[in-house]
Amino acid sequence: MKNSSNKIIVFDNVSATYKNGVGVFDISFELDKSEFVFLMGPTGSGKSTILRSIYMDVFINKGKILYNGKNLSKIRKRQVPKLRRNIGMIFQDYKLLEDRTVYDNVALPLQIAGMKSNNIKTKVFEMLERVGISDKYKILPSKLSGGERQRVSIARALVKSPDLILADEPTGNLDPIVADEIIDLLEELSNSIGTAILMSTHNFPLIRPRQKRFIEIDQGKQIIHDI
Amino acid sequence: MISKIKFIIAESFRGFFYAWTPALLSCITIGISLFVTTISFFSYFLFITYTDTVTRDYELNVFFKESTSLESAEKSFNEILLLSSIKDGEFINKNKSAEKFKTYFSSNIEDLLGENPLPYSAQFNISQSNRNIDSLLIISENLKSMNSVDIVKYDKEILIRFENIINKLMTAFSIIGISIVIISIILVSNTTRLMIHSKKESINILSLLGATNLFIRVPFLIEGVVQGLFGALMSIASLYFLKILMEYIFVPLILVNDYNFQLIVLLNLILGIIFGLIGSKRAISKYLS
Repeated sequence: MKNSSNKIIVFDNVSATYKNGVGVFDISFELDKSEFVFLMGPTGSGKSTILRSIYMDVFINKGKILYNGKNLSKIRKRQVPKLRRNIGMIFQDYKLLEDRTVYDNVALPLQIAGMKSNNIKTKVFEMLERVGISDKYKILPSKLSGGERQRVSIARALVKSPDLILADEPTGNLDPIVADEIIDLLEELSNSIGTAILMSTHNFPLIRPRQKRFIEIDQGKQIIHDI
Repeated sequence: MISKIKFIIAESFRGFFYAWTPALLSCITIGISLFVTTISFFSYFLFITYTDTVTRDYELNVFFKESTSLESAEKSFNEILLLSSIKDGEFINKNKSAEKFKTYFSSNIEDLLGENPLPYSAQFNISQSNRNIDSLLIISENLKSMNSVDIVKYDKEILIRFENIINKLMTAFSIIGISIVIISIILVSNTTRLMIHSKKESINILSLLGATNLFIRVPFLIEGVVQGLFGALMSIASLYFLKILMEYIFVPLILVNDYNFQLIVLLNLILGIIFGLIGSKRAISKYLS
């Protein structure tokens, strides 16, 4: 294993299995700080399990995961919320609170972190501006298109300036043009903010022209190591 | 920190209005429970007041032997008075007995019999802690064992029947009261469970965003308290109308004075909060690990 000082994530021979025996097996990869890497594989291959094991929604049973040099296996259950507050998450189904406006959704991580309301306001509008939906801050998510909802989700993930974004099939529900726009936006934000992004997708044609490093997973096993 | 507290409070009220139908149902349930509980307690206290007047009849009549002199009868009377089970008493000499005889029979005993054969006697009131049939039996046996005492009399049959009725009523009040409290807590708990279920996705999202368990739980607890308070207000309003109605119908028998009503308001608010809190705590413990 290489020196992990400039690595935000290190997977060292990690296995995580569910009760039915399905899971991921012997996964090893590294993610540099500010790097954008794709996690590629068909549906059910274990991409989400890898992401979930980083934010400790799934517990590993072999190997180790280092996040910023810290061994996640040694983190206690009550410290998990703190870990999650440092990671931005984007989901295929957006996971927005439907009874709250765009503004409220984006402000949520900052409220959880206990930030002052004046600072929250400034940060939220700044982020909405960056993702291009500042004019829709009063609208409920149900009134937005899929692409716009995903932009809200991206704004919510980035508003707390995390050092890592985990995007679980963020383009899965979007048409190809909007999906491209979303990846463009993620790339642009990753470059400008310096956040590392690990994005899972089953859509190889979508990521092929991006010339990014990708990790391929199939049936829980790593097929291609760092290409 | 202030921002967090503001958020938690806003979240509690948002939850209340987000699922307002079950929330309203829960408030009404608490309201009805508190109303019935208050009426039950009030009836209970009225009953206690009534029984207190009846228990004044817990008294013993002691008749001294005919051969007993005035001095030794008075001495025995004073000895009995010193017993802890005796509250107070009255010594009845021959003259007083004759006066009582005249009161009951409208005749002078000396005119009828040529002399006064009535013995010295005494009437004793039993102390509060010994006003039960078992204690009376023991006291009566102790007094009978005294040399100067001839007969000890008390209304044994009436008191036994009275105690039986009191015991049955007390049991009934307790069962009704406990049932009401349990039903109320279960209903509040189910409402909160329903709310938690309807907000399962939101809870999951909050958890993914790094919210602590406390941050997620507290709004539900506050929501329970708010439901309890609304329920208490409903109960208080109903009780107030009942009070007005009672005053209107039973003008000479007004039983609820303003002080009592203030106490009822306070108890309703406290019980409402407790019901709401226990109900939501129960649901949270079951659904949020």
